[in-house]
Amino acid sequence: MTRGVLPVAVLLLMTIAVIPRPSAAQTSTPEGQTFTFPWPPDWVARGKYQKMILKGVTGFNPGQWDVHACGTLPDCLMPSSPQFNGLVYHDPVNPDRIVCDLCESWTVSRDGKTYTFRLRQAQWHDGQPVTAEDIKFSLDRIVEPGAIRVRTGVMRAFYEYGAAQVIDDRTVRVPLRFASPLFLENLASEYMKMYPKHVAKGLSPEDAQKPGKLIGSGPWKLKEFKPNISIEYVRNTNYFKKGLPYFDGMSFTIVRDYNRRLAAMQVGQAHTTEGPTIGTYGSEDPMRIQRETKGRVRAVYIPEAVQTYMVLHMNKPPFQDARVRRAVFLAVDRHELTKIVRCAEGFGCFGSIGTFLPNKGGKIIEPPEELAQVKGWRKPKDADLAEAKALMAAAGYPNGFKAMLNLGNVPLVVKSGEVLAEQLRRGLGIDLTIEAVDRATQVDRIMRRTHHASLDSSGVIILDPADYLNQHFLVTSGQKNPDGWQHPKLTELIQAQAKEPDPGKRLRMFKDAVEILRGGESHVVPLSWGFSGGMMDYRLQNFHVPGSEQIVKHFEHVWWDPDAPLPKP
Amino acid sequence: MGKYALRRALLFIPTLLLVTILVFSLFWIVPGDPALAILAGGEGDTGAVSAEQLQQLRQRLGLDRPLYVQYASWLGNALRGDLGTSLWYKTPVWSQLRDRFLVTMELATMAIVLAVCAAVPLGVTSAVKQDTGFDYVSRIFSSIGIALPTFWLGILIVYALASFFDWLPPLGYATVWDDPLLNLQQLILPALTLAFNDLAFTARVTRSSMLEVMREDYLRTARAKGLGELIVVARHALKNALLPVLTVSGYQFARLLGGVIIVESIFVVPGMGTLLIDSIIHRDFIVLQAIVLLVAVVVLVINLLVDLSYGVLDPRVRYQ
Repeated sequence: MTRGVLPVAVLLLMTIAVIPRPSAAQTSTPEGQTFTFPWPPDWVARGKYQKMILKGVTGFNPGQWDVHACGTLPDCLMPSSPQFNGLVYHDPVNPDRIVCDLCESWTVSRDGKTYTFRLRQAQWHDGQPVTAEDIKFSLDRIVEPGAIRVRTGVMRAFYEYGAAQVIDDRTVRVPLRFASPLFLENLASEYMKMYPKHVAKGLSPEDAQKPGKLIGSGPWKLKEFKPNISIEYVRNTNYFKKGLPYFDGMSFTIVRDYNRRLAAMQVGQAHTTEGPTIGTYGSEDPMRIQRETKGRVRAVYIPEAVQTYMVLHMNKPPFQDARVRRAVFLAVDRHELTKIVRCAEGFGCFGSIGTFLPNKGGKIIEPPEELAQVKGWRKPKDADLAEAKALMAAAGYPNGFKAMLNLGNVPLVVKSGEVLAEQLRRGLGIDLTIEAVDRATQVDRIMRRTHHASLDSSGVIILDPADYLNQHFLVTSGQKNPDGWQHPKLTELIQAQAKEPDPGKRLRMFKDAVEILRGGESHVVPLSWGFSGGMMDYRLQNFHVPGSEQIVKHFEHVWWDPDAPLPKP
Repeated sequence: MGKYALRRALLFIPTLLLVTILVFSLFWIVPGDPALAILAGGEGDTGAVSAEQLQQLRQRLGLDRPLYVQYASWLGNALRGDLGTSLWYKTPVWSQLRDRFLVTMELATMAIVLAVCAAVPLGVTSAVKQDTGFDYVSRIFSSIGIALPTFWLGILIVYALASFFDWLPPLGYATVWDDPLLNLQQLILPALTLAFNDLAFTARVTRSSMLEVMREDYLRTARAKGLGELIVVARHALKNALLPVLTVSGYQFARLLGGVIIVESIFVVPGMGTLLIDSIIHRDFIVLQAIVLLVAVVVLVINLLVDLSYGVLDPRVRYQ
């Protein structure tokens, strides 16, 4: 597998090479530490405005445009994001760093419980100035009590509705419930966009979801959304980040058929795929198109972006029994599964073995050398299988049992299900019947727990493993923890890490959390990590692969260089 | 004939009512609902949607009401000409359906015209030259056409064009009024794809029908009178052989409306087919009901027109 990963790794290295550092100044005052981000950073001058439309293809037909309320990346965040700014965001040219977006600086109080943001001079798309009042309004809207907040609801843990104070037109103070290393990371999420109070206040939740009703201050204005045809944007000529964006407009044609999207890239009908990366392209296909077009189309991948895992439903036998859950956890051969599902002959691998937590934000929690010794991951599988069989016998299933597996009708997921079924049949005599259905049916079945087990996938949102722990083990009764499985010590650790400023101690907490999960008694059986992939014309410059497919979605920093040399194969 | 047409038109009402009840019921038997589709999305990762959030949205959309109340509410509005507001797009359904209906009708009409224009001469020639080389080739061609699934042919065409010619029909959509040439570029390949199967089937029916008619006594009489073969075939045989072809073409047109669903997706044609797929993915039953209703009306009207045209083509047919 290492051999297979090599070409992709080389490609990634080529992609992220020569990253300029933004010039952030850090000063210490009696009030606390201040981080200042002067505009423009040095990369802005390297780009050149082109009188042309950036053309893309997307497989999704958006229906939601209010990112505070919605929960999906392709149907909502991707089309909405280019219109808006956050208070802070991930630096598009060095995506692991958080920098100012609408703010020009922030000050953290000495106790870490108060952030004071100083705003840039920016304008909404209707010409009105962005004020501290708008920021306070947006922060309150993000955590609005009782409102549906699928992605942004996480902020309720850190910020209390109404707590922000407007100091002056361009300064807002944000007191937190407690000092947390996670506040900025969550605030930098693409879902935490800032809205103009004078527009958003009068909109009902339904109206806010309509295209063009909410306006932002972002690099692009929505020109027209033609359902099932295209999403068109025009350049915000009054954008406060002078010089950006680098195109006159941006147009994404909605192409529902996956193969037709690949073909559109192949014949040069589009400059980029949506996102530009998304799990849908997390296979060898972008690489194949890159080869077939001799490098004109560039394949881009985010490693460890989407996890595929099995959810064991505990509302009925046999997975009510913790011994059976542990047996399945031990019996799965993740190495074999990843090789079959995520690797392609002649192309290498586009994924890695499933762990509980993603290695993001510089936090390596489950390193491969450690996993080689851990039950459930170690090789050969003999010892794990022997223990799994003993557990099955003790639970009263020495010869296995019949069970129904619910999964989505996506080829990669179906393939995962088939390999999993074969492994469990071979190892434990479990006879899994696979039922592949469309997404809405699959999620409905997960939440109603109609089957014995389900296969699902989950993307990394913020570059911190805490998000994964929250989604799967703290939020109960939802899609990711339908049985409400909890472990007192694990809950304690999840809550404690959110308040721990010391990175070393946090890492230790994550490792302790993983140790609990490796007991194999939870509802989650991790299978594999997949890439998020996409394609771009090689002349599209300044795209730097972020650590998550859910960040850097605004296309404000990429430019077109007609003279760019064709990359050597 | 007028009374017959009116009686048939009145029968549309119970038929349409039954269709909408059936679709509505089926839709609610299928797992998942619009609230789930909105919060959990059609595809991709969906965050951690909670049961409480789902319930809240269901209440807001009125999905927590009993099914018969929802149906009655929809039907009441539909009878007043209001097909409702899309749950996914939040825009009036008719505003979307209007443009897409025209696109699909244009595509289907183009396909059926292409199919009939090619199939009738092919079938007639094949019958006239029965058991010759041409007939064998034509029959093989027809068999292949009937056997090939339309969607597969579409994918094959896209693949071949992209791989061997580095060309594909332009993306986006231009109406025939805005840019006739671009419109033709965008629709000709899906129309040909759709037409291929119909062409093959219609050609076979034409051939069989012609063979049957050509054995009739009145044709022997026509030939005995000294009429040329072309006149015998064109004037005497073809007119009578066309009745079954007409029946088949009417049926084929209705079938085409089903076939366009996949072909529109493959060739990126923004018609009713793609809207239908989306409404199913997003569980947007308001849009789905409207599409089904519209397609049902089109199919019923076409069937009626085909029945009425029998009387024009064959004076022996009388409407009681």
